Amino acid sequence: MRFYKLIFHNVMRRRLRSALTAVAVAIAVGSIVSLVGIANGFRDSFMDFYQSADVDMIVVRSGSQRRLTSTLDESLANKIQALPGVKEVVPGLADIVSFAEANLYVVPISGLLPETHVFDHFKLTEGRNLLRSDQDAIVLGVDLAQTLGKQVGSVLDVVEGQKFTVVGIFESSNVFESGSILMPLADLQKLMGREGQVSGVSLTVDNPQDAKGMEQISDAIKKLESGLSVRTTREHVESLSEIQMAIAMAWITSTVAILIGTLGTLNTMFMSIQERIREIGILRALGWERKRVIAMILGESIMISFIGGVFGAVSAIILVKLLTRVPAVNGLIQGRVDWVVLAQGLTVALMVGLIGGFLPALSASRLTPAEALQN
Amino acid sequence: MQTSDEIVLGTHPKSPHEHLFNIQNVVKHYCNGNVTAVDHVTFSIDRGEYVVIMGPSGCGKSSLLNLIGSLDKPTSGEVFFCDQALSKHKSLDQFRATQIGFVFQSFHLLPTLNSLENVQVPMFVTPWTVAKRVSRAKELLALVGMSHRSRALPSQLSTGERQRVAIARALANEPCVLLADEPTGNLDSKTGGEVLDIFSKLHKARCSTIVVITHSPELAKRAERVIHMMDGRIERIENRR
Repeated sequence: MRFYKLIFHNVMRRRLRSALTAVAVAIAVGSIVSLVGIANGFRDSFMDFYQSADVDMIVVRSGSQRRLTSTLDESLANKIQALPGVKEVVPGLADIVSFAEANLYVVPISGLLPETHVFDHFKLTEGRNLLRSDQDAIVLGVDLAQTLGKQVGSVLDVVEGQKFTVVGIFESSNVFESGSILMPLADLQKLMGREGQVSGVSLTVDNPQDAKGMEQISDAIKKLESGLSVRTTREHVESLSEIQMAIAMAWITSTVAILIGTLGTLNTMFMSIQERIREIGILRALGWERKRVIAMILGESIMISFIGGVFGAVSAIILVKLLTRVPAVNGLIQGRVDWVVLAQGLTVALMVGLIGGFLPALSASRLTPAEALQN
Repeated sequence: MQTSDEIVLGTHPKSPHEHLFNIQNVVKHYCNGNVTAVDHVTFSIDRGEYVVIMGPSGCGKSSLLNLIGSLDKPTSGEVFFCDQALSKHKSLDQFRATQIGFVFQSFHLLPTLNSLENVQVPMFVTPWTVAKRVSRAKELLALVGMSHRSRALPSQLSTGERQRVAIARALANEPCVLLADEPTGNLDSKTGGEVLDIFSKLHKARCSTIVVITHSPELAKRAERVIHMMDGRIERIENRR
């Protein structure tokens, strides 16, 4: 029998004890992987939103890291369009509406200029796109249409008492967009009482690879008006307070989960080793050195933590996938867990195994064999 | 070619020492000195001797055996093995692994390992290959009549079978001394007799040193010397050689 087999037998032949400890680790790891993965997916959705719309820069009001509180004058768009190197400018107004009857409380709504090429990347599956001549018309993302049970021709109360007719349904590779509403900019401005205002201006440039050129355009925009924030797509997304809040919330929640899971696991491991003090005494009586006893217990706790970590990670991936199908989510998360988050989760599992095994093993092995046998 | 009896036990250390163990005025206190388990005990154990230590419960015989086997440290006094003080030994773990075989009243087998694996546990400290460990474990199980139960877990064995496996384990590293604390205490008389027969066989085969704690007069009859203890002290010594 080899040493690693001894460790294997100790774990596998104490099934209930090993399973309980592994579950504690799985909860901690699953929490990290799912919560941080969801937050990262949320961030990636925003990133895709801008990248798929072929946006190079975004201009918002400085200091307003939430899109929804940024307010610019609509006329700024024309001034930016006139700058050299700027290809196209798309002003937009963003807001949030809710449909309590369908348990949807965070539905993005965007006001955009009809018949501009910003609509090119929304792939219509039914009906048509918005026209400049439309009155009270909207286009729905396919996920939202499905959840609300609407099709082309349906009427929707976007805001209480304000009815709009669905003229088209679109799909997007970006899950955030597929759960949103599009309407003409002027209509949304009127609906929200924000005439002449936009949330931000997205623009594309002639040469996005020219970093110096991009910087010159950015400086020129800032000179048009004070208090403007001009960022590239990635910089903008990462600065969004919604993203930062989501990631911070995920880490806070998963830190709490780690602490609870770690303390629970440490407690379970400690109790398990306390119950085995006599066994440790037997091994010392048979001539095992302290370091060999500690190595055996460490080996067992790392093995259990690894099993728990893998189980927790796999469960988290499945859970995130299932959550994306819940209607209330409405496409706000992508259901994607990347390898970095998995590695973080498994690292936590191994650290828990090391700490959970080492400290009680060190303490128990300090007893004389006679003391341990009498335990 | 070695017989199974010959390969079982180790040879004595090569030394001119007449006494294998020399217990000099050892004292053991517990509970911050409130309990004196061993009270100024002095005696010696010769190479190849079969010694029984007897006495009523609480007389200190298990504590004394623990001190002899380096499972515990004396409060004062010294235990010498081949004239070397155990308190100054560089590695008591190695001493126990190579020189001492323990047999306990409660068997103390590891519950997650089968008989063959339990016998191999002491062998991890040796440089033997896996094949040699398995081979020796099988021979030892055959010696104690447990070959047919090599794959059984302790929970699947009777008390007598567990003690046989424990004896096989105690012999794993060819120790020169076997220390047994009430080896028949949890066994019925028939099974206990079988265990005592194994001890006698081991003693005769290689003249190995055996020290046994017991209440059993039956076992005491088989010994060459009986040490009677009372209240932590040696009351009298019977020589039966």
